[in-house]
Amino acid sequence: MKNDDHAVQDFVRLSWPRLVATAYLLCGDRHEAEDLVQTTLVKVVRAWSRIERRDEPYAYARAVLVNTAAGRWRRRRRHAELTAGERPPDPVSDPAAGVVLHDAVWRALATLPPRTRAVLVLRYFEDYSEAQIAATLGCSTGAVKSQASRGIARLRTQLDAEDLTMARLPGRTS
Amino acid sequence: MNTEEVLREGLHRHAEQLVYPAGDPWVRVDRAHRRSRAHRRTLAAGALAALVAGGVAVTLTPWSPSHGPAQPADRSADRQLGDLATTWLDDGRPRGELGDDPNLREAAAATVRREIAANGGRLAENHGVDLLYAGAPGGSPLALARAVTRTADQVYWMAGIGSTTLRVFSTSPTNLGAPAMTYTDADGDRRVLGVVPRGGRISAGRVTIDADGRAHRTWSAVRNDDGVVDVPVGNARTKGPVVVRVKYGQEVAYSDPQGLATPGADGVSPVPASAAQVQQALAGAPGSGVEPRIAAAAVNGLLRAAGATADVEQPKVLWAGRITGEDRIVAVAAGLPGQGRLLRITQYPPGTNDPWWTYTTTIPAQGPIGALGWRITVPTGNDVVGWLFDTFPGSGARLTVDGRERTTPLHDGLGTTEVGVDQKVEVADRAHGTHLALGPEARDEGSSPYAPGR
Repeated sequence: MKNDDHAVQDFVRLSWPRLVATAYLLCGDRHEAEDLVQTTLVKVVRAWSRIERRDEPYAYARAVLVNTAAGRWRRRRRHAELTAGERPPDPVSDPAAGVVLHDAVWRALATLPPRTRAVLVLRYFEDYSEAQIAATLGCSTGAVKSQASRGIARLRTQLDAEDLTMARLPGRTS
Repeated sequence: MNTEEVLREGLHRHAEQLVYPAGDPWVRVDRAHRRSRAHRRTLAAGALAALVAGGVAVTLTPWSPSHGPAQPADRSADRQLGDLATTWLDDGRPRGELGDDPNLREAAAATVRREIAANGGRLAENHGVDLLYAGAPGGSPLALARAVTRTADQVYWMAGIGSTTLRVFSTSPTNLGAPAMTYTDADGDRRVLGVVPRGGRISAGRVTIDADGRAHRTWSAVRNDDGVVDVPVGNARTKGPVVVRVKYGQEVAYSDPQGLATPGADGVSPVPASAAQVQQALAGAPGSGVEPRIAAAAVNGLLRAAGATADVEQPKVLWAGRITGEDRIVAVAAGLPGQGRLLRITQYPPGTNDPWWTYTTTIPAQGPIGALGWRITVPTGNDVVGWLFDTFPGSGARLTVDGRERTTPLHDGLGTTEVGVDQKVEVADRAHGTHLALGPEARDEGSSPYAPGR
């Protein structure tokens, strides 16, 4: 594969923002997210001749991203919660109500185990089906269901504990 | 608004607020890709040495069986050892009878610089190429040098091609501590030359496997000749493979010799199998089959695991095929002369011959393996359990996890599943009355020939 291959260059440029967003939601740190995506895309570039033929390079890249993030979580287990407690970035523009929601969801998400968090990000941000998540994470759909269920229940508990009822947010209805 | 909707909206709003810096991501990725090419050779060599040094029969690679090549382990203890290992290796005085030869030193430096440049790298600021060893133990020059690039600190084994040219045959991270190389001496016997700390206590470890498959490791002291050790490799008479163990102060390092036997393009594989050997190994293997490159990767992985043993008997694939999704599993066994067999089972994600996990164990020299089970921890934090019945009970195997039955496809006697590290797994072959209890306490590291036996 030549690095001047326009297709791979275009793919890297187009997929970068979306992958960084997903990585950020997975790991909770902007700089680590970019590092994860860089690592991911280097792997994609390396395998480009193979994955281009499969006509699904973005799905491949996303799976590599999740795997790469998982590898880091594993290695960090002894230094857990490195990213879990980090604050989200300062919002560019957001009314107060949005910030409350935004921070509450973020804090709640940060309390989840990495794998549960990955399931929720893939399900509710990437709109993956349970089968797609299972294939990406290498587990059964039953495991995905149970992780998602536990994750949502835990989020609900966290949000309740913060007494964050959506009805209290301006511009929203419960 | 329910919790799912709150979460969905929160995630999207959160992502939307990311501000992307100016600059072309392609430039960043392309630059990293160029750096990684230099790095990959290091990792290829390092992964094998890490397998030995870590004493585990598992290659830790990323999470999903779907995708992703191997990742190096990141252990803080290694980093501490690494600092010391770098110091003891690069102590400013080249070892070997040719260590003072200015021409060889210059040739080695030029060869390493070319190698780095060819892989898109550059020496780090204020760093040159340091010669660590130069000699001619087999009659032609053999040299080891260290170079620190912007992305890696590596040692480079070089061997003489003709009388004037050196060629790089292997690279590995400097911090592994005791680089070793296999060479052929003037009598045609293969030996292992290791570069070790001066004053360190050195042992050569040999694995022997009984005919019943039990592995034994024996360590014997080796003379440390001012930072160089030289021992014969294993063969049918002396047994093998060889692992070099270094004890220096409170530190212990293990090194697996790199092979010089076949100066191939990657300079790492000691004995790459020919296409004919791979085909021969695959003949009659149960399972749905795998493409040749995966079979070759598995066979060569086993040969590398067998280390410096010159006389590994013809490998035989015991199982090869697809499991869930696109993943492939290959189980390969090869006999060590006069001993049992080494068995290596590897799962390969689609699109790569980099394994997701690898399990290595020993089995009897002859006859069926019966029922084999394994359990290894993978980077998800979960365990992968697997089983292989060579009597192929079809769908007759029953899997229970914490007492609850779980349905997992069984393919010609082989199956795997991912479980929590604390879960108990049992696999019963109802057709033959065989039963496997797989943990969580069931680990097989002790039977690995690569358990270093500290």
